[in-house]
Amino acid sequence: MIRTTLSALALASLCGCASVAQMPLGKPAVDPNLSIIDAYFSGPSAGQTQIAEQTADSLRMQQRALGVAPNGQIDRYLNDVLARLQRSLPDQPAAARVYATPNTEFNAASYQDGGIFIPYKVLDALESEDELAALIAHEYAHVLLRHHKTNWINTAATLAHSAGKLYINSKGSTAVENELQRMLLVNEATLGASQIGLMPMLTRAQENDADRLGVDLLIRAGYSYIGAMNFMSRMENWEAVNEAILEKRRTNYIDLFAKTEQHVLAKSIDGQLDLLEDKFTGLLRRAKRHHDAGDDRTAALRAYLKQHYANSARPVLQVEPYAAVLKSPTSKRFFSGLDQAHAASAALLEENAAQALQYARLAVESPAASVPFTRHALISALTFNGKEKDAFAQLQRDVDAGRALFNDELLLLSQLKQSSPEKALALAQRSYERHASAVELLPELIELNKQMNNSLMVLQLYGICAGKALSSANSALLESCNKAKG
Amino acid sequence: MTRPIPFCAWAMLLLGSAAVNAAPQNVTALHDDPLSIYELKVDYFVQSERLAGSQIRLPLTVLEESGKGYVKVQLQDRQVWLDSMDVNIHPPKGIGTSGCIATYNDASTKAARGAGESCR
Repeated sequence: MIRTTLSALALASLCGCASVAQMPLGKPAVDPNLSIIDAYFSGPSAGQTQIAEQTADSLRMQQRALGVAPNGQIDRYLNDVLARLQRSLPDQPAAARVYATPNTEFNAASYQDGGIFIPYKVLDALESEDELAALIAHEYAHVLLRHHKTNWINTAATLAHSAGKLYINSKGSTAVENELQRMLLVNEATLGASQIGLMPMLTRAQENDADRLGVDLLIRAGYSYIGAMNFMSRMENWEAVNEAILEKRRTNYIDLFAKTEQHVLAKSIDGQLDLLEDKFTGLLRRAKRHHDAGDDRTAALRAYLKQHYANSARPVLQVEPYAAVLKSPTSKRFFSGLDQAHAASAALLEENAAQALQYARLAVESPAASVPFTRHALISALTFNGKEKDAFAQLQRDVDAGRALFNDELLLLSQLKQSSPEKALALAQRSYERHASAVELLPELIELNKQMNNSLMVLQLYGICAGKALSSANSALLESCNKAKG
Repeated sequence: MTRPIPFCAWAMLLLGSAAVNAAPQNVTALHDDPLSIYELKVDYFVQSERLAGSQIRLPLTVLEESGKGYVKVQLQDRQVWLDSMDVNIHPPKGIGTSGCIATYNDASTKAARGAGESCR
């Protein structure tokens, strides 16, 4: 009966994942002749800023994927631009913070807690502060308009757990030559998997509103709306590139692993990638439905600008300030370091251990050395080259310093479980607290406490796990905790 | 599962993307008819006339782009400025080395790094 109920809940969960929770409109109908900013944020500029020290929730979720790419100079510049946009609002603005990430796609995302994440490849491609301000203004507009009241956190957590389950519960699969290498490959694969679940699913109407409020903020802050139009042009380019490959591929890393059924990863995870791949395909299909084509968005924005800003002054695009930071030799070396980290990971997936280590070493000699993704690439490369001791010593230091990716914490945990269960339990507990009671760690905590004969803790943790699993209809989580409890 | 894409296809895609970014830009469509023509006066642009779309033969090669979003083109026997808001310019602006493929020093691989809403 319980299994039937759970199966039904699981099915409901999958169906629920297929539809975005619709935000209640909640806003009164507005005069279509008003700009968005006049409709919702009328009043003179207050000249105030509110840059968050940290946006904990979204940062934690981002760490479950590729993490962020901290760089003092770049971070300051990004948030100076955000501050300039905030000053044009009446009253105190909603708190937010901009981060660079080590992702390679041409997109960006913002979240309910004000976290705004921009891939370094975007920063490398833009050419003016106005374009950057247009991008940040668009993402910040989502925060101001409270567009993120969806169940994305549950969706991301479910997907992350599915990916994490591949990783944690892959014991007992068909025999593989090197257990550690198998885990590293799964780790590599699931990083990308987790990133998909983090993209917020917003409606067309929300994207259009953010386009419009974004240019309102841009112009009020003294930037040129040509920056917004230039950015839209780049988005059209990105869409064209993606369309070109749409017919030829599904999930990239799965295609790689499909090269041969004898590949170590294919043997290790035994068809579970198909399940994960189906979820990803569904998510990507839904994302496509929720966005207008690039040229439609550009046309709509052009019409809005003509309606409200036809006679507005058009300042010169601010190219020099942008180049002074994002095209500086230091930033170029930083971006190059991230490229090298990606190259190391790519070589790893091709099982070219020597090349992976070569690139990883270059990456840690660059200004990107302290980026968690760079550390991840080095640790994986060292392990693949038979230097497990060095790798895990490094990983332990990174975990202790709180700069490891979440998946790498799980990797260390898996290793410690074999050699030192007490240390493993301490790590699991710290990680659980650090990652806001991450559900992926509950099965591990149950298993380790059981090993240490902490029966009361086992029951307590199992109770928490069952509660979370049932409330989020997450049968995979419940199954893992059942298995851990025995 | 689908077959992996041959290496040459990836190389062509990357080369194609780079080629799009390096190609000369052209005005390929008009959003306004009649179209406003501008003159550059020191550091600002003033509308000098309006031309019917039927008098403009496309595409027009973009000779220069100003920091205020105007583009200079050769129109019949003279060079004039157009507002980029009034026309479509192709190819679109570049996306650098963004992609779903990790690249380093022009070496392309089949591995994906990260995935976003537009990465398929």
